[in-house]
Amino acid sequence: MPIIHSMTIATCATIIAFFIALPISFSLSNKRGIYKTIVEIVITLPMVLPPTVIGLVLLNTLGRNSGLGAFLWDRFNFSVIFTLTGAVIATTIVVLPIMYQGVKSAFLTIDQSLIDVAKTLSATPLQRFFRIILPNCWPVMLSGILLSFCRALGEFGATLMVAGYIQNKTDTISTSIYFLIQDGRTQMAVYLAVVNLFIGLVALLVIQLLGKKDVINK
Amino acid sequence: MTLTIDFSKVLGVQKWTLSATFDQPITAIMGPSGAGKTTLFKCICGLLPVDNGTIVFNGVNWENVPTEQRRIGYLPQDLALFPNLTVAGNLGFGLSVSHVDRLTISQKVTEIANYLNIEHLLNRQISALSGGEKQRVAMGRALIVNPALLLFDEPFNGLDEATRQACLELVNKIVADKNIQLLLITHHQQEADALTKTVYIVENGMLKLS
Repeated sequence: MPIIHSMTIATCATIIAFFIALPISFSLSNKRGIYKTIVEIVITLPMVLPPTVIGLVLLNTLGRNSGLGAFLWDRFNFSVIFTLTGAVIATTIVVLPIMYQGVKSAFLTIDQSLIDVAKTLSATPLQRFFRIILPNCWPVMLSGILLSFCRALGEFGATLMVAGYIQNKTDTISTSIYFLIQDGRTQMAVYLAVVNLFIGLVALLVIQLLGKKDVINK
Repeated sequence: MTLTIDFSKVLGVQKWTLSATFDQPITAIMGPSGAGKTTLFKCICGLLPVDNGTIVFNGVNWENVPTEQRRIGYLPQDLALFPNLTVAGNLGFGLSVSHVDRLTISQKVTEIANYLNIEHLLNRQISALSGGEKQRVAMGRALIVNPALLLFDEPFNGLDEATRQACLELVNKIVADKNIQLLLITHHQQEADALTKTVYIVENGMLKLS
């Protein structure tokens, strides 16, 4: 179960973070000024905070004692605390800075003259984005996505604060390892650690291969 | 075909005032590096705004005409071929974004490839092409959409002498066959002389007839 939970949380958080980072990063890619600075600070903030602080903020924002949490509970009988949904929200916030930086770096690799020429050839902004920009920065972007996924897979602090550790409900690889060690079940903890290590190694290998492919293509 | 420019633009600390009428089939533009030749082309394309003044092509003021509707075949210094597309994909790009049907695109791509002698390259990736082949593909991509004006920014840089000569002949042929006006930025007097007698120099924020 912890492996399935971790994979589910990491996949959902990575997808959500990607679709948040993509439009923001693209719309700000050629902009300067205070507005861009403020947005980037807000998005990057979780990177400089301990995950437990993010967890604390989420508990105070989404917990049943908070305005939003109370509203969700009273109106829909729904709470994100101690659920996988809560873990996904916490993990999304933790990985968003990494995803944003990855997507931003990908856009920066695009040669402006490609976009200029596409424009002179009558390509609309959407055509330029989907037919020129995205395909040409995809390998770099994929590296950012994989790094975000790996970070999501290893998320501990914020997830534990928001989703807790409930066996067969909210247990993830990292929280399980912590509690298995506390219970003295070292062998199971090592097994989960090896699984996590394997997934991380595969992701890093893919990132390396993507980097090599990109260099060869250029 | 006449292109008249009369505008000013502040570039760094220098105010740039350009005024000229280009009415010859081929006009060469020369000048030292950093003089603003590429910026001039980007202004004509509408990729950069001008501060004051007008750009008029064949009687049409381009002030409110977006880049996409100016029908310009633009070759930047690096050619900017799309690396994710094959040669055929690059050639057909301008037609496919205008929703031309696949059969017509295929026919026009073959036609332009034959014209430029690159029909054997159609399925190749851009990274597998030589410098001269890339020039031809970039020219083909610009020509396939029937532009009224061609802007070539130092298109023959980095080519060996034989390829450069072949490209110069090709440019002359294109302008004659297609009845297109060409503005060409070059650093080589020889290149300019081989193509035209009309040479402008960009210097100190001004455009002067040589």
